[in-house]
Amino acid sequence: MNRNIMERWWVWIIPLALVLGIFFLYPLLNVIRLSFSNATIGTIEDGFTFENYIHILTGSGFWQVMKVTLVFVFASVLFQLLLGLITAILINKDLFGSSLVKLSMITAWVVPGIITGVIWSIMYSSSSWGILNYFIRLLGLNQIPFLYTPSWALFSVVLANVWRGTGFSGIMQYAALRGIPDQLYEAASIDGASTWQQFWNITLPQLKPMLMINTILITIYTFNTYDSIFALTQGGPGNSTTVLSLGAYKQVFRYLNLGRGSAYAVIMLILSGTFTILYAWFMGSDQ
Amino acid sequence: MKKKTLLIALIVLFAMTSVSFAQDYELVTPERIGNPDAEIVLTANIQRSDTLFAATDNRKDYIRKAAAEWAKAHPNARIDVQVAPTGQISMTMATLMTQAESGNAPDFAHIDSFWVGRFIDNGYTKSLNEYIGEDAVDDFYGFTKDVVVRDGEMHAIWGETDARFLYYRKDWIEEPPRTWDEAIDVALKMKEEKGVHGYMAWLGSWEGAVNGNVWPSFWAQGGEMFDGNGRPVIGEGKNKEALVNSLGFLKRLVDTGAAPVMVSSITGSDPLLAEIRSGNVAMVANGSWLYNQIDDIIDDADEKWDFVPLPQMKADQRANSNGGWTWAVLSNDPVKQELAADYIMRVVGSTEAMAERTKVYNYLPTRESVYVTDPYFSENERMQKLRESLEYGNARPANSLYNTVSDLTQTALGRLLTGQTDDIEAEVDKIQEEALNEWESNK
Amino acid sequence: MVKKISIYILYGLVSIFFLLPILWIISLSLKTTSEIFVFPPTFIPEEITFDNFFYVLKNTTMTTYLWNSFKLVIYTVLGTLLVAIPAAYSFSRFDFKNKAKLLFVILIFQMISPIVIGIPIYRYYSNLGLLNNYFGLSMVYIAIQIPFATFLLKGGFDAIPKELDEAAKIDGASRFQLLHKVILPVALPALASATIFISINAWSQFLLPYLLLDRTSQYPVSVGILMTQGNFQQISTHYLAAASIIALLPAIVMVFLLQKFILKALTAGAVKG
Repeated sequence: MNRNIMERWWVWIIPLALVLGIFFLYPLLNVIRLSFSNATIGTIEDGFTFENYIHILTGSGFWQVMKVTLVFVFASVLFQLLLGLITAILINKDLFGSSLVKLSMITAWVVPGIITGVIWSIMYSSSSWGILNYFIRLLGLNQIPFLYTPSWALFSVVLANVWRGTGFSGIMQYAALRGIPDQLYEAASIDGASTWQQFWNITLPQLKPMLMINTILITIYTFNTYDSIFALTQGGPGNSTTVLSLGAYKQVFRYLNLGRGSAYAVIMLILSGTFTILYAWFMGSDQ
Repeated sequence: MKKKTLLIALIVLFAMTSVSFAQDYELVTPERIGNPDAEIVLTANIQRSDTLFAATDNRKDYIRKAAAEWAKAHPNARIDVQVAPTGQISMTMATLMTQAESGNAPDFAHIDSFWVGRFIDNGYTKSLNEYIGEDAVDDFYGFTKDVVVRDGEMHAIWGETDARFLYYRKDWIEEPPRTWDEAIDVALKMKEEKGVHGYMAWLGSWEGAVNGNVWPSFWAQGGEMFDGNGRPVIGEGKNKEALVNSLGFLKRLVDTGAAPVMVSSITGSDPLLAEIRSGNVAMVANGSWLYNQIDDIIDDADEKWDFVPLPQMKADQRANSNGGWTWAVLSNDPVKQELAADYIMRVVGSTEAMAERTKVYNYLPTRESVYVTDPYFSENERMQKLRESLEYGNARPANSLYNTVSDLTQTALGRLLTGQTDDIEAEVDKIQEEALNEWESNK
Repeated sequence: MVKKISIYILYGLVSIFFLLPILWIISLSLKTTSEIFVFPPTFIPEEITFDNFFYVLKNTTMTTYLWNSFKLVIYTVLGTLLVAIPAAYSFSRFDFKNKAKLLFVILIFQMISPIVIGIPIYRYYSNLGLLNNYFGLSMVYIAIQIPFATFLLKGGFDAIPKELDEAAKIDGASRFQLLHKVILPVALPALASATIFISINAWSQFLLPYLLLDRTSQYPVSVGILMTQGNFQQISTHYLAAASIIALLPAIVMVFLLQKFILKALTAGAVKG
């Protein structure tokens, strides 16, 4: 009997279902319910309303926030993948000193988001402790307004995020690189393929599944990132670095508007879900 | 591999031993005040600066002494302190609000003056009149009472305040500016003659930007954010004009080069102090606390820096914006209410405590009598100058939409300063429209 | 040769990119209050002082925060593995309808941000009496980590040849014995890499502990670091720098010690698409 029941696949998933159900699903359903209410912190919500969604979608700032979010996510994902790939290939050369590169990459990865924000706001500063602007002045150039013009501010939050996130992407890709059988390269060499051809015909296709998984995970992480941006710019100047998750944070923790914050959250969820489905679809259509 | 395992074990061991140090019985510790075995246990959420985790030794000494007196007077009670980080005001306030809503609020709490209105509106705070006496209630400055007194009942003790001024290099500037036009002229002159930043202020996306630089001139022109019913009117009629003017001045500062563009990212005093320290700025708009900070980082502060009221549109206008923190009792239990009120009065609210604490902390007292009775305040010229500014004091309104209006204004300011738009009127219209929208959906 | 040199140049650039911010913070943390305001900035402080570290250690209970983080990480790792291992086993070794869809549903949970569920969880926990309690907090951490951990472990289990299972089955081993005796020992690298990913994520959590704990002495280091952030009435850049270094040190030491292991684990085929 005991043995029989252990033969069923779902038995093994019960703990997962319980934990996710009790500690995640219930609050999530709550969020969805709240997004259709006028709840604020400190009042009892009542009624059913689309007002939150209408307000957000028709608000003047929403499309700006969407644009910023998409730029932030797209740029972060792209550069984390690229830089991660380059670093992984470099480390894979296994020359003396490659472990220093490895170590430095992982070091940045263990820095919590809020500390990332603190560290980079020091780096970007126009004051005496702003080391980047000091270098730029040494080169004889004008100071860069890292945090105070809209486009530079967006660049700066992306750079900080890439700095922190590349470790994850780099490690995963390095692992995948190591998993590629040497015979493939040997065979290609015998056939006279150039390094570039090897990269294009062997490395990239072999890395593809990992790149996909990486893309999905980084996209999800980046959609949810708000702490480093908050510590760097608080979403400013104007709204030029306010991403969706920071919008949700402000609604809940500054305006105490739970209903609207939850609606932001649901929109975020729909967006990252859509991206994931799209990626999965691309991946699936290939196999 | 074995060596490494050993190393890890050693590190873990070290971490464990370093935290399990024994704590001797002391009357006041960072997270407990009073007898550890007391029957009555109160909880309190207090900003780090008013606990034994405070930044300086003199502050710690003050808290240790004042709290110990409370502890001695109530041997059967103790306070468990939740220390709140000073840099995360809105998170802390939202958390307190969530706690209060779920019935988990601490028995008393340290609440920022621009948030306390919401706690009072929601009925979380208790009247303190019976514990502190009518005379004490009357002694507080009017701008504090506008916020914390409802129907004659005082719901929180406003413990200290500050005021905004224009700091200027007195060795460079003979006649400090009184109007906006003068300020820009002087700033440009300084920029040209000395090659320094003319005018600086913290104008990044944060509360301090509007509280320190927009509201004082908005109020000086007679601006109102909300009408008697709590409806936002900041972008209507005369108020709109006042806000357009105020934002216009700040924009003009940056556009003319009187202020560097970097001001639009400053959200604290460290960057301002850096410029002051390197002698690279002629005028700085900031709060009453800045004087002592300047004194800390340069040797001849007295010879170089002085302060005057903020420049206004017209020379005869004057208004100040006054911040500060309040202490409110949230407990429903009368015994605890009394104990909490007694702590607040002994440490913060009584005339003696207020004189002592504001001295140590470099704050301004909120009770008029302190400026008269305590020689530190009554005999010091600088203090009397600060006192005078409180006559023009204003507090941010206790309207729950204040945060929305403030945030919208911060966003507009950021857009204007960084050249994302030049149309000030349209920005103000947007503030009004959004705020009104909120008001209607919350009604 | 030219190729080698260019690779070394790239090594240098990449390392500088990742390390410069941290080295600069270390430099700031060793400076006196007035030296942080000196321009041009000095890399090696003229006057090296450890006062900022003493200040931070004396004025905050940084060591307690570190210890708390350490405990939370341990609970989270154990809890997550306990739940994710059987689930990953099921996804790896059983065939059933809609497996891919179910995996996707689990991945959806990964998309939920702590900002969003923070307040609902607070209310929920308030009713359940789970506030101010590491069990409650760890359970949320665990829930957050499960999706990725399950994915990672499934990949690791998939890489183990099914023939091993078959052989053991013929010997009459139960499913549980299979997992315990056959799969897990071979899957150690996958378990190790999952542990590391879970630890790093749990270490960085900020919003949830801040909301769900109110006693300062319970805070993990990611929240505790805020205790050194001054308000505007106080110069705090150098203290913040020192606190950041203290907060990062254990994690960096861990990475330093375990880095070979992490990579060995990952390259042993734990992560496959």
